[in-house]
Amino acid sequence: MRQLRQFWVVALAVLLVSCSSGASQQTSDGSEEAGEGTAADQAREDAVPPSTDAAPDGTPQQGGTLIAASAMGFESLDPGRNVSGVQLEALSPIYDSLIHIDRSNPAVELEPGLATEWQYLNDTTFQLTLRDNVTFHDGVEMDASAVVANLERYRDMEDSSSLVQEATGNFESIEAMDDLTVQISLTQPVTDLPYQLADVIGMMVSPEAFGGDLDRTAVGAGMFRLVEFRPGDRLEYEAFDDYWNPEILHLDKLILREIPDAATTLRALESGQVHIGRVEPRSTEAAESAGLRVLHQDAHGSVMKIALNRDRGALDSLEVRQAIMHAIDRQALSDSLGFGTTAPTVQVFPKGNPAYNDEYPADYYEFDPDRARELIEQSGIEDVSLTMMVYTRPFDQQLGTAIQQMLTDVGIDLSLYVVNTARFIEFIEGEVDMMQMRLSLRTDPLAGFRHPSLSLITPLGEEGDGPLSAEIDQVAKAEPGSPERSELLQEVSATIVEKALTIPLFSRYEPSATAPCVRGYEPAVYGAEMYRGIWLEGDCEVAG
Amino acid sequence: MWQFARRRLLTVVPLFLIVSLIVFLLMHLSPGDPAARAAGGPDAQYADILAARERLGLNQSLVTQYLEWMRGLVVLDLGTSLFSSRPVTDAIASTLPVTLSLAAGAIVVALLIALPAGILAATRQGGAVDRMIMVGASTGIALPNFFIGLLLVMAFALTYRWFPATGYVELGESPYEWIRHLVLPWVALGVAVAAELARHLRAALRDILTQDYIRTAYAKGLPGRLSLGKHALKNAAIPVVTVLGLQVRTLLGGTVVIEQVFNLPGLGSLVVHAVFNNDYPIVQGVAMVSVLIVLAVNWMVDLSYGYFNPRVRAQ
Repeated sequence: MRQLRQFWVVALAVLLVSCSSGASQQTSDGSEEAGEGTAADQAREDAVPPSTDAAPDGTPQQGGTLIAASAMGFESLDPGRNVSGVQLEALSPIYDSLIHIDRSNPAVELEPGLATEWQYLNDTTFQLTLRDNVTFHDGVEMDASAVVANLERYRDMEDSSSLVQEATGNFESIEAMDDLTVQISLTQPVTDLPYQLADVIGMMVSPEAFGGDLDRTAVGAGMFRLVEFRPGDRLEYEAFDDYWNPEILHLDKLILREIPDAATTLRALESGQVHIGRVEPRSTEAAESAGLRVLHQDAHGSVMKIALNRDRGALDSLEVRQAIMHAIDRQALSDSLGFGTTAPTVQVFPKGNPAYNDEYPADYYEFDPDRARELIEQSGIEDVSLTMMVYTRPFDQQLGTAIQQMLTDVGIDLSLYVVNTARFIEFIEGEVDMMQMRLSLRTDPLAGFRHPSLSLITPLGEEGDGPLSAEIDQVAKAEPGSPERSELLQEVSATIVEKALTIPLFSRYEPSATAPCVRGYEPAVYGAEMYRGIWLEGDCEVAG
Repeated sequence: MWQFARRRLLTVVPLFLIVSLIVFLLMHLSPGDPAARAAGGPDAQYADILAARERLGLNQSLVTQYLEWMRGLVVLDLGTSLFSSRPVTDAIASTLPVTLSLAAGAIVVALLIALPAGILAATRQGGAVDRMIMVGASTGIALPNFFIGLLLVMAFALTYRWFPATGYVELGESPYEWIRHLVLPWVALGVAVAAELARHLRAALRDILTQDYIRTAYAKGLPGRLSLGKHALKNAAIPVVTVLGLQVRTLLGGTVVIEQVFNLPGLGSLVVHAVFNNDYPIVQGVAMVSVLIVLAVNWMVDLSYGYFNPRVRAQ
């Protein structure tokens, strides 16, 4: 009996040792080191070494199925109803827009798309010249009447998203002058129409499809046609043989898999089930260890900031706002939470953006707790007590806690109000003082300045004019892409910084990881991934 | 039997009403505004949010909204998603098979582990086998299912690449891939259920094996396996089936976490997304369907008593 007991103890010990020898080991910094002795480990050692550069150029190869992980929940395929601009990722393979933007370039340069030329004939008339010989996926020709039908649909939709309503609110009439010329008459002068037409309202749907369920089906003129939409699971596309720009289309199929969780995305990448996905900054080392190619970017696509309800209590005071600016050690936050993907900033837009003003570097508001205390004293407000809304995401909570400590050190009592992202409305309705949030770049920087959380045009949850409504109106009148417009955008940035109308913390980007076989991929700096110009090289078999 | 069914049906209606009211109130009284999400999320202008509230009927009184929903429920119309206009029945119909596949497979795995383990433990009372099985069962109960799931992924998906780490393939598309994609989630979910079942089976069998009629069966020369299988197990089945019924309810909740770990597009993923976005019709619809499932399981458990115990049938 005793011998039998000893046997089982030894057997269990042998089993435990043999199981642990092939498993990954967690290092103290949280990254993983692959173990030895398994076929999978050997495969990783043989794989192409990870690179921190964009995929090297080469001759594109035709064919293959690209599988990408997307954190977005795809609810509707109707560009007009799409609840948020970030869901463009599902739409952009299907729907080409009238004007294109290279979303991997932060300079926001407009390029011809389904329209080859565009111009303002006068303050309130905009003209588009369309590309010839373009067809929708159902064979219908894309001509001026199709564009007119689309723009009228966006304008007249009852349940369109706020973005669409804002973009089409000024459309008085849309006319087809001939087969390839469209004129839009506006109720008042706006100059950002080219940017709008590079966004959702520029996405052209085949008019023959209007009578169908556009939430579930999609017929556009894009690189891919929709094969299947499984809400909550995936979208499958196949290459459109008659696409007008075949030079950028190298794939046979594209599959977007909806994977909301970042850790799950990493596992899917590591196990070879997907080729492309965004990874959390703290997971980049683990991704590289697994043989994936991690793409780091110089250009940043968003700014982490604290939005202010300047009509509430102490935040009405310029001194208090500037004190908060001085109280926060942006470099320390960036170093500890950024994992190399962030850069301190005091501006709403990151470097490289047309609205970024070089006169206001990150140390314009130096980390200086003494100066912060002085400013609070100057404000005359004795007890500065604030609430800040923070989302439940771990990164947001860590950041919020760090900021809370920094403000406590200068005598500001900050309470954190941790909620899920759907409750941002409570900030808009003025129920909390501040909201920690990420402001992503928009197609047009002006759209970023118009973001409700900044309350530059209208106060939060109210009517009336905000502090910079006149200045932003001036920008709206300047010609898109002109030096004058950039100058005006930068002046708005300057005012925001000087008056501390919001509290930027750092700009950031989300690193992407790809399988070694992916080529030609340049991650989008802002907006949706476009999946243009990507090809697969070598063994790109997807596991499972 | 008919009386039994009639009595059960009579309890369903008030139960539905109570659950519907609780779920409705919980969703509508909790913070968050789906109109803001429907209008475009954080990018939406305040005026558009107010317009969306009106369009979606969210500015009506709670009583009006509840009665509208109940009117739809009576004709089996669970409404449409506030954001995608997708019918709730459609959303549930596409996700329920995934969750049922997961739950059913987990039960099969649990039974495959629990039956031999429970029997072995009971027939070798106090021995090394019994102790090992009970340690294993305690471990299975103590370890959270998502933790087990992550361990399985690390070992069998990322290291040995025997199974995929994420995703789901429909049974109709490829039965082989359907199984392959569900093996790890089944084991992750089934282990805790197996542990509970093994413990209860062991306890029930231990008690039954000391009964006089079992001793008589042995004395009559009936082979051990027959005494065990024909007499002991059948009587031990009733408490075990009761526990199984309770575990099914726990499984439905457990699928939510496992679906996130393995990225399975099931009911759990659907309802988590809906809860975080205040998509009332989806959450309410899933709640009602869950009630139906639990009631159906309870009913089957009650029916099984009659099979295992003729005295219950006679009553």
